[in-house]
Amino acid sequence: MSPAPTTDDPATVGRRLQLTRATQWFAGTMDDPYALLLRAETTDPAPYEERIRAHGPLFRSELPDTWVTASRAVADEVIAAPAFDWLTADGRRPGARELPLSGTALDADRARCERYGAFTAWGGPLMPAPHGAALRESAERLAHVLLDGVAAALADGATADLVDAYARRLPALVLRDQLGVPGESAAAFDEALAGCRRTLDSVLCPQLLPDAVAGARAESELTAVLASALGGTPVGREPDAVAAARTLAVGAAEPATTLIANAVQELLAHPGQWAALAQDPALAAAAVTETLRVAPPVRLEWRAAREDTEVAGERIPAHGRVVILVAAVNRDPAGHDGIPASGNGVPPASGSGGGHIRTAPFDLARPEPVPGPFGLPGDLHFSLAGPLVRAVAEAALGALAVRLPGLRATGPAVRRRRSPVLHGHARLPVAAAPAARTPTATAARN
Amino acid sequence: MRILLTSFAHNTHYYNLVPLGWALRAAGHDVRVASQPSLTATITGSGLSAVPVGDDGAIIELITEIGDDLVLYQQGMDFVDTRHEPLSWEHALGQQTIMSAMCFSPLNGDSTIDDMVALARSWKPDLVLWEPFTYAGPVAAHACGAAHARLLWGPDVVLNARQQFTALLAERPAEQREDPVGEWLTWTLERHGLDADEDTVEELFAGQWTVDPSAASLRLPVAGEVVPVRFVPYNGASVVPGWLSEPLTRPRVCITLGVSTRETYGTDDVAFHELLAGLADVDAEIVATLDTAQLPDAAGLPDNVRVVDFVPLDALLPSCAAIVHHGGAGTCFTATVHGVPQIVVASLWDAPLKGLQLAEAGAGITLDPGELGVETLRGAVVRALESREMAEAARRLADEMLAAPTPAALVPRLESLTAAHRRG
Repeated sequence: MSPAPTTDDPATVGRRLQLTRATQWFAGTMDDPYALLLRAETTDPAPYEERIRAHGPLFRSELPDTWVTASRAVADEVIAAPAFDWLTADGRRPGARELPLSGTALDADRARCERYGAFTAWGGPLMPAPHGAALRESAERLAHVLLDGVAAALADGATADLVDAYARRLPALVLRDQLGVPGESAAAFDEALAGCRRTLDSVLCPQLLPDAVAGARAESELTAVLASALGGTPVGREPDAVAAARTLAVGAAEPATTLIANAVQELLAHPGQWAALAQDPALAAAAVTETLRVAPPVRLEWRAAREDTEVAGERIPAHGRVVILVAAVNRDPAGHDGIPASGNGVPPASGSGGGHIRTAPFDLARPEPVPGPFGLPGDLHFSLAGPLVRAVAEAALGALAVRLPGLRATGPAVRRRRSPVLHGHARLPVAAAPAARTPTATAARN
Repeated sequence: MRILLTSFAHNTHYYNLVPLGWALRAAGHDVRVASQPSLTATITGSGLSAVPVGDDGAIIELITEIGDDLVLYQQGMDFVDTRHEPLSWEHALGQQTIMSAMCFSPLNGDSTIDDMVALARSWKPDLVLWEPFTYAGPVAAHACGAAHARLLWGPDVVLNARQQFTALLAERPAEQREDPVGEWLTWTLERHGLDADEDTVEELFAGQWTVDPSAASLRLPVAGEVVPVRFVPYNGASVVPGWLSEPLTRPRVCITLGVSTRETYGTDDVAFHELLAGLADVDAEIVATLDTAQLPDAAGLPDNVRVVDFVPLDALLPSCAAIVHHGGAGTCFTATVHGVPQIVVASLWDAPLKGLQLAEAGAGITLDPGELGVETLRGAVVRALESREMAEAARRLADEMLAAPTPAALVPRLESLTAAHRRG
C-alpha cells in the first residue's frame, strides 16, 4: 500500500528542504547570528554580521560543522590555503544531503576549475574577447541595444523593472555572444540561465520546493542548450567544454545581475553619484569597486576543509566549512589601508541587537583601496566568471548612466527571500526624467 | 453514517476523541479509528475498532535527525508572547516553518496519508473527525468527498496562528510570499491527484467546522464554525484504586506531569523529590503521579505524600482542592471540568498559554519551569488551597464547560452538519 519514495519524489525532497529550513530557523530563534543570516528575512544583514565579528576572528555556529568569519586576514588565509576547497577530499559538497535539488552547476573543485580556465581565459574558445577592455566594449554595444528598449519603455514617465529589463538580460546577452549560442537557442538559453539564478543561494539555504524543482530543470536545460550550441564547434569535442561553459555562465550571470542592481541602488541613494557617473562614464570602474566594497553581490563565500586544518587558532576538521561574510570583511577596520572606518555609520536595524556598524560611505571619488575589496575571489568558479562579472557590470553602468542620466528609483525595490548569499533582486522599479534622456542617448551611440 | 476518527499515534491525543466516538457508535453509526499501527492496542482497548494505516517512519526520521531536541523546538514556538499584539511577519512565518517541518509533516508521513486516502476511497466515510495535528484525516476526507471536522484538545493556537499568518501573507510583496504549511498540503494533495487551490488548503487546515470542548471564555478568536461539546474525560483503560474511596481528612492536592510528557520525553524539567519534600508542612494530602524514573528515592519522601504510578484523573480530581501539572491537554481539560484550581508548570506547545489563561481567569497560577523551586511551588500550593476566589473562578470555568451539549446530545448536530458538507 505504501510505495517507497524515491529521491526524485517531490514530497520527499520537499519534506527534507522544510526540515533543513526549520532547523536553521530554530537555530536563529536560539539567537545564532549565522542562522539568522541564512534565514535572510531582514533587509539589512549587517547587524547580524557585526554580531559575528564581535565573537572574534572565527565564530562557531550552532549549525553543524560551520565556522564564520568577518576578518579580512582570515578570509584571505582561507582563500589561499590548499586545505580549503569547494568540495571535500572525497569529492562531496558539505551539506548536499540536507539540501536535495540544490544547484550543482558550480560543483567543481579548484583543480577542475583550473582546467576549465583553459577554455574561458581571455581569447580562449569560450571567451573570444582578447582582454577585459574588449569584453567591456562589446558588452557596451549590447547594453545600448537593450537600452533602446529600456528608454522606450520609460518614455513619458513610465516605470520599468530594471532587473528584468536590463540587469538580468545584459549578462545573458554577453554570455550568449561569447559562448556562441545561436539565435534560435537564445530564448531557451536566457530562460535556463535565469532559472539557475538560485544556484549559489540553494547551496546554503533550502529553496521552496517549486523553485528547487524548477532550478534542477533549468540546470539540465542549460546543459542541453550549451551542448547543442558547442556541438558543432571544435571546442565542443573537448570533454570539459560544456561543463566549463556552464560554470562560467551560472557563476557570472546572477552575480553580475546583482552587482549591477546593487550599484544602481547605491549610486541613486547617494546624492550626486549618479550624476557624476553620467558626466564621466569612465567612473564605472570605480562604481563597481565601491559596490563590491559596500554592497557586494556575493555576500557569503565559503570553503570546505579537505583535511583537518587550523585557522585563526581553531582546529577545523575535514568536512568543516568556513563561511566568509564578504560585506563584513570589507568593513573590517584592519582590512584596508586608506579607508577610514569612521565614515557615516550605518545605523543598525532596530531590534536586531547588532553593534555599531561603521562603513565609509559609497563614494566614486574614493581612491582605489589597497588591497581591493574582498569578493569574487580568484579561485573556483569566480576564477572563470569574476572578470566577466566586473567587465559586464562596468559596461552596464557606464551605458545606463549615459543613456538615462535622469534615472530614479520609484520603489519599492524588492529582494528575493531565501537568498542569503546574493540578496538577489526580484525587482527594481525605475523611471527616468525625460529632459536629459534624448540628447545624451544620441551622443552615446558613437 | 460511516464515521472515521483519526489521530496520529499518540495515546493522549487519541483519548480526546474516544467519548465522542462512543456517542456516535451508541447512536447506531459505524465508527472506525485510523491511526499508525503503534496505536492499535490503545484503540481496541478503548472499545472502538482500529484500522492501522501507514507506519511511524516519518516521525522516526525526524527524531533521528534532531535527536532529543524536540522539547527545545517546541519551546521555540511561543504562542504566548505575541498573543495580545499583532504578530510580526517573521514570527508568524517561523511558527508555520517549524510547525510544518517538525510537527505536521512528520506526524502525517507519506505512507500514513497514502493509506488513509486509500481507506477513505474504499470505505467511503460520511464524516471524518480528526485530531488537530492529524491532517491525513481531512486530506482523506477531501479525496472521498466526506465531510470533516476537527476536535480540539486545547486552545486553538494552530488555527489562530494560521489566520494571523495568512492575513500577514496577503500583505507581502508577491516575490516574498511563502507558506510552508500550504506548500506541504499542496504537494500532499497533488500526490493523490487532487487540486490544491488556496480555499481547499485553508479548508483542510481548519476543518469544515471545529468541535470545541474548551470553556467558552477561554476560546481564542478564530474564523469558522465552532461547535461546542462538553468535555467528557477518558483517561485510558483504568482501574479505580481502593484508597480513593477512603474518607478525606484534609484537602488533597494532585501533582502530576501527565502521561504524555513522561512517555514522549522521558525526562523532567525539575527534580521532583525536592519539590515534594518542600510540601511536607503543608496541611494537605499530596498525591504524586510519578514513575520510578522520576523519583529514584521514594523512601525519603514526607508522610503526607502518596506516590502513585497511575491513577485516572477523572476519578481522582473530584476529591482534589488543587492540582499541579505541566499543562497537558487531557490533564488541563479534566481539571477544568472538575473545577479544580490549577498550578501550571508549563513549557510545551500551548501549555504556557493555558497557564496564562487560567491565571487571568483567576482559576490558577502559572509558573515558568525556569523559576520553579521549592519555595515558589510551596507558595503556589498554599495560595491555591487558601484562596476562595480561585476556587470560585475554577468553578465558573467548569460550569462553562458543563453548559455545552454532551457528546450524545451533539450527535444530531453532527449528522446535520455532515449532510450539509458531504459531497456526492
